[in-house]
Amino acid sequence: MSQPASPPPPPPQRNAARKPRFPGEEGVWMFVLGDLAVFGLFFATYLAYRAADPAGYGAASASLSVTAGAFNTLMLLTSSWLVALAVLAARGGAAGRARRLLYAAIGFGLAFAAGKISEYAAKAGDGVGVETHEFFMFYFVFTGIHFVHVSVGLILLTILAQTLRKRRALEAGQVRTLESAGLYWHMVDLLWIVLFALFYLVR
Amino acid sequence: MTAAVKLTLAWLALCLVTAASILLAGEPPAPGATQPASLGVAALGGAFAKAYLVMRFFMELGATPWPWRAAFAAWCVGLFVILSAMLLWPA
Repeated sequence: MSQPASPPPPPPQRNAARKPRFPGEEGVWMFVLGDLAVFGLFFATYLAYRAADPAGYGAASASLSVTAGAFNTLMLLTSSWLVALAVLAARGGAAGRARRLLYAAIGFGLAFAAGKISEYAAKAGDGVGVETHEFFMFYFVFTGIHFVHVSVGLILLTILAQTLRKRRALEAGQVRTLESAGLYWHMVDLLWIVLFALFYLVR
Repeated sequence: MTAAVKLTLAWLALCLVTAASILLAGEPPAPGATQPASLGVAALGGAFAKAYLVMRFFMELGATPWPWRAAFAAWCVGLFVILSAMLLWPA
């Protein structure tokens, strides 16, 4: 008696093994996109005003230290990189390593903040303020708002690093929270990248 | 290639693009003169190239559903085009 033919195996699902896991909370992605949109308006507004006095804006921009701006950029890029590594470590269950990477990221973030305060102090010492020229009004307001974002991010990362200190094993929710905080911190980095180009390099 | 190695290479690329942007921007123009608009556009190009690297590798945009990828790509590309146009053809 012949055996009944076995049913053919189901076709492999094309993306079953590659289905991406959404990093972080969707609400944070929404916030990040909104913040990027607002800053996009800021950038366009700055260039619109700059068009009326390119030489004046160029002269004012030339008074900024590209070295200081480059230092700040390097600090934030490195901090962002360390946060991304911390998220990787957390996903692998290495709470201790994630915590150490977060502390290192916070250190670089603080270096950025110190660099920025130093720049502001130098400008104040030179008698340069928001009323010196329209360029400086934009510079202090936009980098100031960005500085607030940096401060909030540093507080978030510090709180997360402290919670990791109390755990040996990470829960899925904690990893997701860290991903969300990382997402916010990368947005802060993104914004500075464009601010550095607009204020320090576009003269 | 491990994920950590990819992240580190992305960081290196970000540092290199930053250095290249600074070198390309060159010295400030003489007082009263203006920087050629093309240099400004190049600086913006470097910035948005770095933005893409941050989105792709640090934020893991590739792991999000397509509407998010489209929205961030629109921000990156759209803003670069708009800001460049404002530099090249100021009103």
